[in-house]
Amino acid sequence: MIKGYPRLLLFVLVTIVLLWGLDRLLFGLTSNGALGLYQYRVFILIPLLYITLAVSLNLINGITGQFSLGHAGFFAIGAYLSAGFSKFYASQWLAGMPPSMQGVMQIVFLLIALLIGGIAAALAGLLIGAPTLRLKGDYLAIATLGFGEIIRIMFENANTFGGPRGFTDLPQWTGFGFFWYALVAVGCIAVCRNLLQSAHGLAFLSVREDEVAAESMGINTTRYKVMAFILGAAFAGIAGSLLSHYEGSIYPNGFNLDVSIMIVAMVVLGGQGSITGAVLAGAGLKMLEEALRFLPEFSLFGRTFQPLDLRYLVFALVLILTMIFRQQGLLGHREFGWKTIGIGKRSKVEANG
Amino acid sequence: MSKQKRHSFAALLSALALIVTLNGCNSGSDSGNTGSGSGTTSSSDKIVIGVYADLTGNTSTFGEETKNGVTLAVEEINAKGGVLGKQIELKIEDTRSDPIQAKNAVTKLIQVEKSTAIIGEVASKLSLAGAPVCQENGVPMITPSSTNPEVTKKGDYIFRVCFLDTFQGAVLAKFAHDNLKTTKVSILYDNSNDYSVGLAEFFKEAFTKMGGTIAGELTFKATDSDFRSQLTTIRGQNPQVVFVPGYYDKMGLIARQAREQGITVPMLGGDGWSSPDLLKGAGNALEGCFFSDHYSPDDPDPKIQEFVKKYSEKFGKTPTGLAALAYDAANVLFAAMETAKSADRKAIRDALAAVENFAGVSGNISMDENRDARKSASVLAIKGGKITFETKIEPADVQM
Amino acid sequence: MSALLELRQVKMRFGGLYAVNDLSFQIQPGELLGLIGPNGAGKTTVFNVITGVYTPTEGSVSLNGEVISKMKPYQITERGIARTFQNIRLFGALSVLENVMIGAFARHRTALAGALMRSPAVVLEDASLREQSMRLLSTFDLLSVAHARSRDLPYGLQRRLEIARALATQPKLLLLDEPAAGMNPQESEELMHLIRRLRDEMGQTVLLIEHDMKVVMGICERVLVMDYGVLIAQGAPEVIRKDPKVIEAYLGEPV
Repeated sequence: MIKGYPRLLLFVLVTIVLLWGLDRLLFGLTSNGALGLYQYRVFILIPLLYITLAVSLNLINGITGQFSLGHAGFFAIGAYLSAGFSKFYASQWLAGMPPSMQGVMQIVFLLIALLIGGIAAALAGLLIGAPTLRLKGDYLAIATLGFGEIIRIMFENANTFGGPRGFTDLPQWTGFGFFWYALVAVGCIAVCRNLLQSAHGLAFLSVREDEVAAESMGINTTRYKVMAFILGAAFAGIAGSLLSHYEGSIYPNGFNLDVSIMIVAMVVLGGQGSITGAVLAGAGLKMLEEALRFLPEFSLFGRTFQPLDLRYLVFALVLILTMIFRQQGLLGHREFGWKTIGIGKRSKVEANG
Repeated sequence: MSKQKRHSFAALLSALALIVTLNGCNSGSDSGNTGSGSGTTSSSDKIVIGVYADLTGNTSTFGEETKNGVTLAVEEINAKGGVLGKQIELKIEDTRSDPIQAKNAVTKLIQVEKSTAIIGEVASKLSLAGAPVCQENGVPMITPSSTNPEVTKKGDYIFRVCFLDTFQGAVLAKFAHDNLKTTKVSILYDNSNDYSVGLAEFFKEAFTKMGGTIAGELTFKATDSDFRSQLTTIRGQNPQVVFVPGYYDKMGLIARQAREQGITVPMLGGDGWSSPDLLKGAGNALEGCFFSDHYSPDDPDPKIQEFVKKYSEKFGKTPTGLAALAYDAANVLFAAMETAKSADRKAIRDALAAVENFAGVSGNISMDENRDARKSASVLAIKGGKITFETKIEPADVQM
Repeated sequence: MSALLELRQVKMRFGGLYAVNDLSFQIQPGELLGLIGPNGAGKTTVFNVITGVYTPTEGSVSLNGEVISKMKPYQITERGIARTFQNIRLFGALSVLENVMIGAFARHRTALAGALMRSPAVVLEDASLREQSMRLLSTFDLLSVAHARSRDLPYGLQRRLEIARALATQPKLLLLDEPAAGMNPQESEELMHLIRRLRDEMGQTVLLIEHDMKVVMGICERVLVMDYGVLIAQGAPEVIRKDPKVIEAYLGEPV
């Protein structure tokens, strides 16, 4: 078996080829009408974006145990700043290039835009992480909630970015979208999984479990908390860049507290700390939200109920019932992967001395 | 949302049981896709019209009014035998005031429900999200009440049956200047709301062009509930009118607090005030204030009175401007289909572009070269605890 | 021989109360030292001061001549002091092996960035940390429960695991806070035997807090006695046992 960096490179290459193939396949299917663009959008594309958001928040909330309600803030920073770069600079540069180069350069600029989104959000993560991580539990949640709202209000007041009227006419460089959305989701999952498999990941977990004990084991808890914020924010920022480069327009209201709460709900529902859980809940909740559009009209006690009005009530009900019957979330702390089918990695040995 | 509260717990539980049992519904609608962009729709005995509106978000009364207006128009036309001999089937989707969901909704209406034409949204940013999808797929879209000029610039399949914010701003400026004889206005607008920012801007432009002065511009947020500091500043500016181009839901609070702060001059607003809930919680604080709207339910025109009567009977409340516009949007669409003598989307588009002097309840609608309706605006007054008709301002009366 | 750990006139004040007052003592390398005293004498406070949980109000703590009293707990652990807690503080949701690996992780050298890409260096280091931890588990007779969740272990094993985890950081000085608390006499004797072995076979320096004097007397060659934050006696167990001050502190209890 190949090991080390060649293995990493091989993994990256195989992923790119596979995702590109899948992208073309889906594109073909939507072109000949076998797959509806609606189904593609709401049951594949948007869930992929929320997988990235849920897995990245899971790093902060689930794995490191820092309750953050500000993920939409990082999402917004990535979306706005990357789009700003592409709209105000890159698209101008692109227009000045010979047409033969534009195809390649568009991909290069998109990659730079994603990087800008990630780095900008990571810096914000550092900025919010460093001072507020002295806070714990509810206090941290309130501080991060405030942060998320500040970011949104900031963009609401930034005329350069269109203010409340939205930042529109952005270059839509992700094209069909699947390849890039899936690449980022896979990248985010891979990084988190690598982290959790290494001893470094244990350091993050130890912070969640017991900060005092972690410190006394030589873990610089502040550093790990800030790192979790930086990493989680970076991926949320990249997700934001994807959004703005796919949709072509973004609005401050698309990054409000509802979005943060939705992502937290995904992490909690999936089982705090479980990557697989975050993936399932991230995709599942977004799909459910749309699938509920298909609720039919029905009559009860002589009154007709329109499914449209009930959509979010049912949505909330599903969340509530899940939390009543499965408090640890769908997967608890467990992961589901190839090993689960074979021999459990973390078997529950009876501990009787 | 008061609507949701009304539903009993039993209904909730059965709704949950329903999703479990109705999974099949999902797969049923996936099958048999015709590709997007096809010019004609199925030649069945029905024509599907899609509506996207905010039914669960924070402007859900807008969505409700729009839904009701279209529903009434559809019921009327179906009772008369439909359009082109076919019944109209209405499909409604929720946007939850979120552009991403607006896009989802429109995509679903076109691709899953196979709508021949689309009506929606109220909020401009949501129409702006839905319009490109309609344009790409060659589906005519009529926004009943998005007043931002950008919306119809999205393409030649996008129409609107209401006036523009530029016009509305000019109408209000003219009303303030000529009818109220004022020259000094303070503006208080919601800078988290695209509509409010736009209208404030257009008003200011028109009003200063007429020689008026803006004593000051202050802002608030849709989530605010205390406006005292802004209002204190405004009182110090000594304006003759306070222009508040916000949504109806904040007006009760703003008006009350303004009166408490000793601001006695009239307040002026746009069609965002147009809601049955405007006077709720305002006491008599809005007495003597004015706002522009697309129509007035008090207009003695028999066409309007008939609409008001039918609507009130069916939905138990007086229709607002938004309901009237939605009603008009649907009827303009039906008329265009009849003119085109076809349910072909391209033919409908061409007929829509040629609409001239369509007599709607919100006024006479003619499509200009930008596919925007040129029409009059009504100014309404709040007198004796009621909303009453004040005056009508024609496009010819204002210079833009 | 220079002292491994030295406390010089350490005072720790909480409000108006001195929990530790003018405490000075030294620990020599290889020593197995007991710190005893009645409830509330300030023993755990001394541990918290040494490990950096508290910064002393006055005085200094130094390890191998380096002043550590203003450092953060993790820095002190990096320099070679590890501890256990009076009320067990394991990483409950993690496995026994993972608990020990976190301790061993204190001596890691690879960067976090490498872990994100699963670089060869990280893979190698992980393997060696794991192997090292397994060896410790075998020393502590915990191999059979290596993959059990630490929260699910019986009390006695949890205590043992905590010591194993502390040792995994490769400390120069090991601080044990009432390791035998809550154990039955037999368990407690086994544990004392284990601690003795650590010192004898691995040369581990140990400072041990114990409320119950009998436990300490058996294994420590030197004992410190505290009462009301003050060191009232120190010396060999047999000397301590006869000290009138100590008898007074433990009034009524047979020493």
